[in-house]
Amino acid sequence: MTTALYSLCAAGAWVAAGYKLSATRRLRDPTVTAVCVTLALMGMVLTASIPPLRVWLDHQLASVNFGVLLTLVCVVAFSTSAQVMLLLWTRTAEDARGAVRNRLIALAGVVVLMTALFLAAHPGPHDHSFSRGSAGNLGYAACLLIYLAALGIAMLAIARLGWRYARLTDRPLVAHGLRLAAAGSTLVLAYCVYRLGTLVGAWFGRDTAYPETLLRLIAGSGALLIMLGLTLPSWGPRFVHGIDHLRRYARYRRLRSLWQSIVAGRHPELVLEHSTARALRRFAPGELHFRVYRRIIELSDARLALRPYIDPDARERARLLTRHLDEQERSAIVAATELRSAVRAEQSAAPAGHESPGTEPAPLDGDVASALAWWARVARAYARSEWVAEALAAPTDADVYAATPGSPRRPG
Amino acid sequence: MGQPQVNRDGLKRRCRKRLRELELPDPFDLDRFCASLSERTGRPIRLLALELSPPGPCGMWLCTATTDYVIYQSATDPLHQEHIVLHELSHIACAHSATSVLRADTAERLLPHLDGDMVHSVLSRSHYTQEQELEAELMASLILHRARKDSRAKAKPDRRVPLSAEDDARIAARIERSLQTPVRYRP
Repeated sequence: MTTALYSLCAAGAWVAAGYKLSATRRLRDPTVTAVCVTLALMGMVLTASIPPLRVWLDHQLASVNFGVLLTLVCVVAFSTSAQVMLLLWTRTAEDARGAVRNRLIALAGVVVLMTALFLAAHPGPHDHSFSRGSAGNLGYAACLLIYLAALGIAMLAIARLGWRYARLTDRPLVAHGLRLAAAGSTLVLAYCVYRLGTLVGAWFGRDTAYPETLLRLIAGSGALLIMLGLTLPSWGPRFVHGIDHLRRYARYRRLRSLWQSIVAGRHPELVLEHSTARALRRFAPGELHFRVYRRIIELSDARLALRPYIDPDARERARLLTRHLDEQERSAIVAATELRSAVRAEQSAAPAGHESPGTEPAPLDGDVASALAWWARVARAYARSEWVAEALAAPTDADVYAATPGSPRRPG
Repeated sequence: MGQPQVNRDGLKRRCRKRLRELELPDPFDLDRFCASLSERTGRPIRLLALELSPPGPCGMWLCTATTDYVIYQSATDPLHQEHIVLHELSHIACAHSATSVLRADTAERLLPHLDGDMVHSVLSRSHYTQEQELEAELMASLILHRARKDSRAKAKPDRRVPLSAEDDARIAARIERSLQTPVRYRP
């Protein structure tokens, strides 16, 4: 399971870094470059941590657990990159230049120190015990402390900045991304604190059993959340548009039976173009938007054409029955009742015998999306609303007033 | 009366060509579009919302000697009203001609709005059994479809959160710039 998790996280980090690389080339912005490098280094860390790969790396150089050393160095590099990213966020490029240079110099120094300590320490063949190899081995313990400190500092900084600026940004996807990154950093920070505890415990001879798989799951999940958070604002809009498109298509399909009933079946002269396009073509974004628009207009035209046949009594009954509902639902049910009563009267070629009543005003503001949502409600009510059926039947006034919320006769 | 045998492909091509020639305001605004069309024709265009009773049309274009009047149904929702107006404006944009005579009762209702002008010609929107009506309906649909598509491609207005300090605003802007990439697709 650890192999699968780290492989997935590593793949995700490399994809995210590649995604940001294209933006780096296009925008030539040092902050974007810093995000890209941070993600790439996260990919290096996770790749080197995949157990089979780590074991293979450990055996490539005689007497040196190269896999462990590579992981430690990559973590320190990742921490430095994350700190540079945060510096470039919180300062202008000119103000951050000095601090960035200092961080890079410190990185070089720490890498040299860590490598020297590691080589001098000669830790034993790598096993899955993080701390046991350090007990009594000062050099190795120092390496592990540097590793934990570097990772912990970076995670703490990302978590603090992420939570803060998630509240302050006015872009919803950036806010969600920062929250995800902050949550991921918090998980990895918890991993660091626990590892520190076991390291200190091992040094004092307390070798407590701890769930290694669970710890790696926490660290891997934290890394995944950080990756998602740093890239969500880039791919999020496409994802949101994709969901919107699916929702729009579902609502368009829901209008079909109503459109067949009152437009294609009764007033075909209102149809601009009978579609013979395949379903796949109808689903294409540009084509779907046009078809949704046409469907709404044709339904509106049919609604006007059916006005002389509307039964005003049925409409009043529908208004009374639904007076406790919110405006959108109430107006949709009343409109569906009007249409049902008008279709019924038109079929019997008998206008209602009164001056043409107006139609129930639709609570719409000129927006296609809200019109589509409203007509989807009308279509649903037209097809199967018990309120509509009740309004079209001809009860006495007493029955209508009795059908109030809480009354046992109130339809569901 | 059935649909006439209209060359639909030819009609669509003509409409798309006309659409390219029209200067649609961005973002789309009906009043601005009306004004630019009026400038092209050299005649004022007046929009009149009236309650039009069925089975009559829901929209009409009336020509007088000096002015184009667009009558549209008031008893419907704003999106439908906009479409009806655009249908009639499309007749103007396509330079359609009409020889229908106005019914006496309709003329009587409309006369107070017509500044005493004599009505020269009328075209009304009821159904698409004539090529001109088909063309106007297709144009209106394409205009609004294009207008909505352009507005969808732009970023939505952000909700504004008051920031505690200018520094925070600059930091938030840098974070946003580095995490977002410019939108390069058209939904």
